[in-house]
Amino acid sequence: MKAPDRNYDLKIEERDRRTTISFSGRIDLEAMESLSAEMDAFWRSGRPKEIAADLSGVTYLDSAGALLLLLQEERAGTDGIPFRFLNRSEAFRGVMDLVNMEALRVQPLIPAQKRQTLTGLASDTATAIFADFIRVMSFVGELLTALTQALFHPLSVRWNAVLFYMKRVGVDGFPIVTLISLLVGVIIAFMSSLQLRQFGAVTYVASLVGFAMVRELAPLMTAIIVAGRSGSAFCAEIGSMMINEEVDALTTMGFDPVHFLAVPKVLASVVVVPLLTVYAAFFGILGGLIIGVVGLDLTAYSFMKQTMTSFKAFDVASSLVKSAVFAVLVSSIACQRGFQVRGGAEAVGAATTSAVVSGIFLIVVANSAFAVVLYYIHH
Amino acid sequence: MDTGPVIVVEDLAMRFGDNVIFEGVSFEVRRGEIFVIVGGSGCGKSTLLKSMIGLYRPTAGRILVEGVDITSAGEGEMERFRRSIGVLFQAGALIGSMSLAENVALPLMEQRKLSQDMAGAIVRMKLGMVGLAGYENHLPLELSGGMKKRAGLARAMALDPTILFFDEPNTGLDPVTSAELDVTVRTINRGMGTTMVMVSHDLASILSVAQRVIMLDKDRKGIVAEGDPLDLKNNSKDPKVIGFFNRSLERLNP
Repeated sequence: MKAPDRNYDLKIEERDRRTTISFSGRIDLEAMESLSAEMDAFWRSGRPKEIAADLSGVTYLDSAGALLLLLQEERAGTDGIPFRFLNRSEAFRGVMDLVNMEALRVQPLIPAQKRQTLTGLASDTATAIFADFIRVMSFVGELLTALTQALFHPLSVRWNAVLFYMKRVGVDGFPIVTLISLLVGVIIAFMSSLQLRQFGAVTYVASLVGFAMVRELAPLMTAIIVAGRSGSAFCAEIGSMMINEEVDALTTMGFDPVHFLAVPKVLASVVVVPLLTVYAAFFGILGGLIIGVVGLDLTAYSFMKQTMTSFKAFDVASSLVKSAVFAVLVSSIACQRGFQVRGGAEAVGAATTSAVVSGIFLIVVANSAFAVVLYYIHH
Repeated sequence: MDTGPVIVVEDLAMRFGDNVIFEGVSFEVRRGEIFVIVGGSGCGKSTLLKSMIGLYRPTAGRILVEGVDITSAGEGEMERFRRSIGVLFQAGALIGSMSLAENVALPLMEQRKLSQDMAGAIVRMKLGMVGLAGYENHLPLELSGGMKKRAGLARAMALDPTILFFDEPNTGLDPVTSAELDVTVRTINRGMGTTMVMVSHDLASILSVAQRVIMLDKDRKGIVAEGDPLDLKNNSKDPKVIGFFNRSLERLNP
């Protein structure tokens, strides 16, 4: 029965216990689903003694259609029913010869991905964390060796690469770092003023902003932004080089990849991130100043005077040291993740994410350590 | 069977800024033929192929595929065009995060709604056609370069397209695998009547599969030869054509 939305037709006739299935129209990919269902119904309806498949009405046969026909032949074979094709043209024979029925029976060489059990997942994660720790430690060793070598042989360092990354990390990062710092300064000033107002202590907004920005927020936020901007960039660059065999090429030419690729990035970061931190602190205080002058009716002079009392030179120095340490952590872990990339695009994506997340994690841990140390120095 | 031209390229030109790659390129591809575009490095053959599959818009000229001008076609026509072609990119271009079965099934899933079992059977059949039976759960990074190309071919063939495009299919393959690929190409062409357009500079393969060849040249920025490859190799008077097909560096006296 030909339905108006179908391009094929199927007619089953039985005579003298011999069944003839006449196919007509387009026996192709589009017809496969419904044709297969009709054939299933045919097989279920009874056991014919002999089957002939008449292809004289078929106008078009593609490989999917050929597959379907051959599957019917195979099915008849397993039931021991004689099966033959009638009126099979040369062209159709050609298409059917393309289909390798043997290949269909081959079992997959490896099984499909199995679902993870909870314990499996837990043990895999634990193993992965431990293995990762070993790799990171190993890389730290290589990096320290390379940095020491750079110290004693400064001419071996690729200084033009260092300058390039200084521009990328510092100059190009300047707008976003200062913008965010400005915003944070504004927010702190505004939020604290709402509380301090109750005690008539609005002038102390200045010292709060200065204190918070210089001692904690500028180093922390700058480092996190650099982790996002440059940590991801370093990792993606080295990761792509790994996939392109560029790192292999450097090794075979006698270069140490860590010295060639990681050291310039780390050196550039160490120089530039503390500078960015200074700007961040400055713009954060500026943000507070804007709130102070515009919203709180303080004079710029009194605001700045109050700010200058809130931190000492030691605080500035310790924050610069902090930011230098953060810079080393962020750039090193980014390079390490990059060197770990094997495979393709997805691996680069995963490594880049890890570089940023691990970088931020290390910043937070280091910041806590600094907080403890500085507390004891102050007291 | 209709043997009129299935692809007509009229006066095609490609320019990137001031750099002219080629201009005035006109030729036809007949239904069911294996048509190969050859030439030295930088002659623009890959650029030509990419404009024929709708990835680049040419600077001038038209490309008519089954009568439809794909350089100025609308969304619906382009969709119909893409459903009727299959492309094998130079390195296979398999999606790295998916298994071979998922890769080959991509065109099936996108264009038609098929049940899992049907799709699975067709995928296994296509992989069988390229000699990769059993590899359906492998990831691309677990395969060699030749296997990746063959898997890419299986994917290109998934919908039994009327036209198959190949970008340097034999590059990077060992001689045996290369010969096997040539046999597969000829078998599909004979069995399904698929028109095939290939960019190649593998001489052995060109002489083995090509029914008609055009040669592009970087300096002359266009077609410098057209015809049967063996005929061009033996009978051409053009030094560049002779040099290419005979793999020789001899400069003939003008």
